[in-house]
Amino acid sequence: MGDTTGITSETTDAALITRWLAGDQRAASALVDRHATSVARFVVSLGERDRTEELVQDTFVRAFRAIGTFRSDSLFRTWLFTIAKRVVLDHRQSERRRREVVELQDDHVVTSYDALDGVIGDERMQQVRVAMQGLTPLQREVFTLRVTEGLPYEEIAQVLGSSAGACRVHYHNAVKAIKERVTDASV
Amino acid sequence: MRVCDDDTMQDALPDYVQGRCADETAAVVRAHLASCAACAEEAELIAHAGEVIARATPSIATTRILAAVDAARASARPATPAPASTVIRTRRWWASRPIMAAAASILVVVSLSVPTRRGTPAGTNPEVALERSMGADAPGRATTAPGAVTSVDLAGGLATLSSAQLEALLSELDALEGTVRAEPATIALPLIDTPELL
Ligand SMILES: [Zn+2]
Repeated sequence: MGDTTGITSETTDAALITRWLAGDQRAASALVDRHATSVARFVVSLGERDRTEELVQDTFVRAFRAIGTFRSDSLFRTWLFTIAKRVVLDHRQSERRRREVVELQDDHVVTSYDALDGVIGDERMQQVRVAMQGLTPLQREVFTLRVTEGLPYEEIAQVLGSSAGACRVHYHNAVKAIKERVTDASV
Repeated sequence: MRVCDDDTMQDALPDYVQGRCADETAAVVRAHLASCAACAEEAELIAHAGEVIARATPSIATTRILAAVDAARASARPATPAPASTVIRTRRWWASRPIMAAAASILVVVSLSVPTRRGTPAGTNPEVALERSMGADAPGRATTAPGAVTSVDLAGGLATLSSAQLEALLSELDALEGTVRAEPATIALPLIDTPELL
């Protein structure tokens, strides 16, 4: 077992990974605590709210299993998002094989924020919620990674297999679309 | 709909709204918002959208995630084998019941067949090396191992053994020289550095 003391919020992800590989279980705990909610938000933005926990769990299991392939020059959180995206796609693929259903399309993933229907009392926030339902899956993913996770476009591009420029366009289109729908709803 | 041409301000809004800007940048954005209705509205929408995303996200039980990670680690070879702990990890990795049963089947066959070959002259048979190492390095074990193994009742076959019995059986067989060679080649393959994992 490695040293299990001295983990603080200042301890870098790379240092935690090194400690975990050396047998320090607390390092894994710190990494999960630090990033689970972010991964969960991203999974929800991918339209998988109903099985968020399962997918977040699979993401971490896969990440820790493949941690030797993690390059410390990239951010661990960005790497986790990349894995989460793959986990979600794999789940959908296996589900498709199992049930022989058609590929899950936009109409499946637009339900991400349906669960909040009637829960949010604030009218303005309700308008924003409804407006967000109208975003394309890609717009919603970019928007979530940019707004709630604070990823720069270069990293969003890594996660989504796109270019930074394209992600920037997707983000601004998403904001524009939300703005327009909220404005329409207000008149 | 109001519009703003200041791309820099618009790009800074998500970080400003979420409190991620440095103080100086935040002050500049704040000053801009005071005079730009379009950005002020956009900032408000982004704040609401962030709140919608946060509220839509179920809380996650990190203890269950950790338990799953731990279970996966216990049953899988780590990506970066640490030389000092390789033995322990290897042992844990194939400790799942089906793999133990498969390994035990092979090891029992090998170890029980060894004594019957004792009198045969050494030839090119690959098991001779195993027999020799057992004889040279663990002479006592070479004769007592089969007996130790049969302290676990094998009458019903390996399928009837409990995990604890399989563990015991494997511990005995583990102690023999050459058991690693008897492991099925497939379970010695690296599981981690494969592209399909990502
Ligand atoms: Zn402006």
